[in-house]
Amino acid sequence: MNKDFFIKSLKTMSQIRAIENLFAEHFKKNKNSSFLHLSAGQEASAVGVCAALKNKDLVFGNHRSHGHYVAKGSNIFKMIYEVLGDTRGCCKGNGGSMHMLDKKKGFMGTTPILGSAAPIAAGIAMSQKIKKKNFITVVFLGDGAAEEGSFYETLNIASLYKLPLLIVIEDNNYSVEVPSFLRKAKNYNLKKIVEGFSPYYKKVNGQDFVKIYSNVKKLKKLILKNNKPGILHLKVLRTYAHSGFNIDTQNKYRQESVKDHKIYDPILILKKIINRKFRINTLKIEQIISNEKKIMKKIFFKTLQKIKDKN
Amino acid sequence: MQNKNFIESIKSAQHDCLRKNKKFCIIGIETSYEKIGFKKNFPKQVFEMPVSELALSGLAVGLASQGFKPFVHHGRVEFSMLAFDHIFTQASKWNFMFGGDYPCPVSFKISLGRRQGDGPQHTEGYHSIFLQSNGLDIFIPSTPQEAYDHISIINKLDRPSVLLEHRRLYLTTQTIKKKNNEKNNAKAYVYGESKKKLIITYGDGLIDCLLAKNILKEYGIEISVLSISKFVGENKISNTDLSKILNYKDIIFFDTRPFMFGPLNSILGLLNTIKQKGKSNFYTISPENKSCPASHNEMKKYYPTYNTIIKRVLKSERKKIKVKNITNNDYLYNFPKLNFDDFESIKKKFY
Repeated sequence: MNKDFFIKSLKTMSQIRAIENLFAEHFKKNKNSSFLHLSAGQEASAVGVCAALKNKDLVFGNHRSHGHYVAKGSNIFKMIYEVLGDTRGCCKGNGGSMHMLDKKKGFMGTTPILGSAAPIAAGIAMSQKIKKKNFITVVFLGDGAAEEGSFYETLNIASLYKLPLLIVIEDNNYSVEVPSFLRKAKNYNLKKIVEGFSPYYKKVNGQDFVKIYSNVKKLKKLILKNNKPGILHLKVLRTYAHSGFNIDTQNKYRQESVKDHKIYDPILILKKIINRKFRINTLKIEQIISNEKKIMKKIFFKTLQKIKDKN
Repeated sequence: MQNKNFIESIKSAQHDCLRKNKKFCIIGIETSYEKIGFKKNFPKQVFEMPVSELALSGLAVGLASQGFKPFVHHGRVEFSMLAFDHIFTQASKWNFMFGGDYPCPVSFKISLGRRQGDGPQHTEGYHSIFLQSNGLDIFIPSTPQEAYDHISIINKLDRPSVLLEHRRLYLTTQTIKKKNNEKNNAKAYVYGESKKKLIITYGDGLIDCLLAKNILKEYGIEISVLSISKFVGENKISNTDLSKILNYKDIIFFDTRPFMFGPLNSILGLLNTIKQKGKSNFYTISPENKSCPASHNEMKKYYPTYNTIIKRVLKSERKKIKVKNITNNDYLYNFPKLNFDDFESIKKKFY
């Protein structure tokens, strides 16, 4: 983990933040009320996980996967086209915001039906195992999706067939706006449940890029060495509402405040680490972030103009 | 060429697919039975799964997306309903929602229909649910030969598909020809030369229709039987196909599930959208719009039979003939042992 690696990761996180903010602004300006599940605030999860993977490790996502797609190095232009409903998009405009795909980069798709992604990813992992590839499949789920029967069924099948599968649970404590304590039995214990099926289980602060990266590295090694799937449970804090352009705290259901969002901002946390570890001053780091923001803005409006020209 | 029953034919087709295509794999519950022999002969292509219809179907979707050809066994349509997310929302939409360059050739073999005592929760069909889904090719074999051919075709398909397997056909027999020809690729077959009277059916309805056809012939009445074997491609039935049906004057729809909102009801609806000279008369025969009872006697009353067809035809002919009962209880309650070779010479491609 050298300086370049950290800077590159910070850039990717900044790109995700910038592009999602642009989506939010665009949808708000155009009064577009269709589904837009933004992941801003959770960039450490997407980038931390994908930074620990090789190109041939495969990733499968869910309804909230713009960040996962970008973090795996997929084509940003095609994502913008897709979200804005243009046929030049990564799914030719058929899928929209909830369907991201870039097979060349090992980003094998996303599907928004809760819990569906888990067994599909297990099938992709099984294909890797049959083909004797020494790589893993990673699937991102939310904490709501991890309550679906298919999640538990997948834990069993993946363990039974010793699949090279890593399930990343991005747990923001809410399913849409319903808190965890209203949805889970009093003594619900995910660690015990997961370990009962035999996969590895690790719970990590989902806002901390470094912790995520290093744990995925370790888990990947264990999964491939011992033929056991793994679960990475990340506690995350999202900026936007479940769907759409509203800021999450505006909906007044959360215990967390705007201040908490700032404290736990993964970009801020990584900035501090870079500042401390490599003695790069804050202004310079800000410049890097600002530059990525400018690049994304340029790409976004260039793409938007091309769409307007076509129509 | 070997004479095989419906079950043997399905096994034989799967065996041939496993042998010819190393990407063909069988996934499901109770797929590793020793007596079937698949697991023993093809250990790397047969995957016994936990009783988790939802996840095993999703796993098959994932495998199919990576170039494999999973053939998923669902023991009953009612069990497969636990996997509807992956059949309908994932597999059927997959290639479309990802822009058209990402095939997902998973296939679901789903057993359905009647058997004595199985009752309301093990005898359903739900064909129209499958037929209404875009993106799925639907195969409904009515004979052992069609079962063999359909699975062979599915092995080469790059689209997701569903094979709806009517249990009542299990002990029907036929001499299986393994080489495909033009006749094997039809979407629908017609039995008989009558240009006036046509009975339309699918799946296990063919048994009753062919029995009725034979008996009516003895009384000098010719009818043709149209058996719809598969609903495939973007346009599952074309206007040209429908026009051919409208060439017949009297058309009876024979369904072994309630007619209302079923596949034959849809075809009747489509026929009414076609403008054609002349006018066909439409009749329907099917169980009442309720579930199949488990009781022996109630089940007997529930299902229409070849006798129901004969009565309907004689009524339209205004003839009064007492027709003998030609079958035993197996015909109604269990698995009739009809030999489709007896009808091969009068079977032709319809569309």
